[in-house]
Amino acid sequence: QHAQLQLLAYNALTTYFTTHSHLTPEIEVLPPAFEPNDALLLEDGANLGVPKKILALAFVHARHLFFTRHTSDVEEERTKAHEATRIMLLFDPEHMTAANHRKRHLLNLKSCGDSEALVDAVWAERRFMDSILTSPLHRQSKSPTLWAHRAWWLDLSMPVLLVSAHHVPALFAGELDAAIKAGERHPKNYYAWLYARRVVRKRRESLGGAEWEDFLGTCAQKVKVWCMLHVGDISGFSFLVWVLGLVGAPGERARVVREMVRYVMDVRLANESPWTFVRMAMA
Amino acid sequence: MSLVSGPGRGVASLPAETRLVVDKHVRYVQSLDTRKDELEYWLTEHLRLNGLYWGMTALHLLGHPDALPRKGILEFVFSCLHESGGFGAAPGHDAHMLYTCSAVQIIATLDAFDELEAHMQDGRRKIGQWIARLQDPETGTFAGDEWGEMDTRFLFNAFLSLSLMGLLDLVNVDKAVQHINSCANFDGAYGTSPGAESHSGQVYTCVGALTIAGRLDLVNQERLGAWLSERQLKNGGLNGRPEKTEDVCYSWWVMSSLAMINKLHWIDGEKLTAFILGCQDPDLGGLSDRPGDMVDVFHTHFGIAGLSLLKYPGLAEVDPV
Repeated sequence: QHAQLQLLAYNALTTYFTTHSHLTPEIEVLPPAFEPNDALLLEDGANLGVPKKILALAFVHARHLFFTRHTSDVEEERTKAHEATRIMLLFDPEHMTAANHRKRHLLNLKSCGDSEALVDAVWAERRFMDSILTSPLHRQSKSPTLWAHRAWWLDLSMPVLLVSAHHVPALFAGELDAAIKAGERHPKNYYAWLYARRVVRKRRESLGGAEWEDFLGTCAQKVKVWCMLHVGDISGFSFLVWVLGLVGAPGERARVVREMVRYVMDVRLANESPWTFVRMAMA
Repeated sequence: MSLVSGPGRGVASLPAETRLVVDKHVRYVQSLDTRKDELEYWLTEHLRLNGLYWGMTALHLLGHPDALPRKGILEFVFSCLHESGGFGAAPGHDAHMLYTCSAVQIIATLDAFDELEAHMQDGRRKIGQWIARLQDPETGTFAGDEWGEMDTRFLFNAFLSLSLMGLLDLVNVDKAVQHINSCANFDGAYGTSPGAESHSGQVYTCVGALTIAGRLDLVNQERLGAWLSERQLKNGGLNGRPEKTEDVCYSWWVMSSLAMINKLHWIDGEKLTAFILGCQDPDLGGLSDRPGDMVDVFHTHFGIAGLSLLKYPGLAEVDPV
């Protein structure tokens, strides 16, 4: 009966993921009080509510399926394992072996030479990562394993997307936004803001001169406003200090610090974080 | 983090303990491996080897080194070893620096390098070489595995593992040291990489690595000491970064860092001791991140290690590194 329920839970979740793979579902894990009475999952189009119990049961089945197939020589078996990783990572975002299998899947497509399939898979991976990293999932949105996976994906995707002439600036803006959104989901999100730094650095590689300064300026403004709305968030402030350090115009840095000091004093904030920002920015 | 967790109280109304309930903790750690049928067992598979290290080390610190069977421990550890020389979290899991480090620490603690050789010919060297291959020749830092994530945590793992095996000469220590130096922030603390946010855990890994390399001269000890002492909150507990809540595991990350730079007295030890003791589950054993939460082996280990640093009577002495 236990095994049957595990299979039912697994099938329900897998079906949802597959039928919505062209979207970026927002996923929530439901506490017992909010469990649906008549179904395993709570579906509302691109929104999914999965009871914690159901997710755990699905995970047990998924891991068994994964470990019996992930090193198979048969492609179909490896694909089944790949499907299982979605549920594994949703439940256990630190499952490196599952994340690595997803990397291998993309590498296989790359070596096959079917560039269209690869581009599709690259975007699908991004949608999956957005779902897990930017949904209101407290543990997942801060996962070092998932953010490292995203960093690897970014390195892989850049040349692929450049070749097919996708709009690169929008991609970077999207990546930055994803990091900031995850920063909202999980306060003081160390690895999301670390990823944001990576995005900014990588942006510089494909941009130069005046465009780079524009990008930095926009980024600094965006994060400055974010920090003013999240005054207890040391990670946001830490990122702001860092990005201001890259800004070329000397007056710009001083202006932002002055704005922040004025704001902190006007609102009479006693939080450690904004003052840490001021200390660091002056150093 | 919800790691190998045990039955906890979950009630915040219990009085703070005034003593360490050693026997309860020993039994708690022993009970962890017997729950093979439970869901928990599968759910924490991705760090089983770490969990084993934490449990075993806690027992050693509590003065009960034989409470877990040596043979069983080593059998499991070796079952995680790949041909390549790296260890996964559990059998069938991909190799990674984090688990390799725990494996080497376990083998070193049990003085079991002979058994390692019996299991895999030239095992010590193979592991050393697996680790050494992960050093980035350009920056000097280390990746966690073939997929390339770089983090000073992995640098420390590498240094610790290699020094325990006497193989530090396999890597470019100077280059790695230079890299750590570039991770120093204006506040005196350290992050995962240059320019990253300061974090107590990363401070421990960076200062630990510098200690192993004999280069504490590179640390701004006054500034770092001040930053670390700011981690203590009114309730006596320590946090990991400004404005974060207290967590018993920082008793280790922060305190060992302070110990390495000889500023352990910059923290109120009495208050911290009381806080750590308050994190115990006095009925079923184990420690949680803060009083009243569910216990797990991760927090049990680091809470006890913190108490050892504070020279709590009856505990084995722990090396800050």
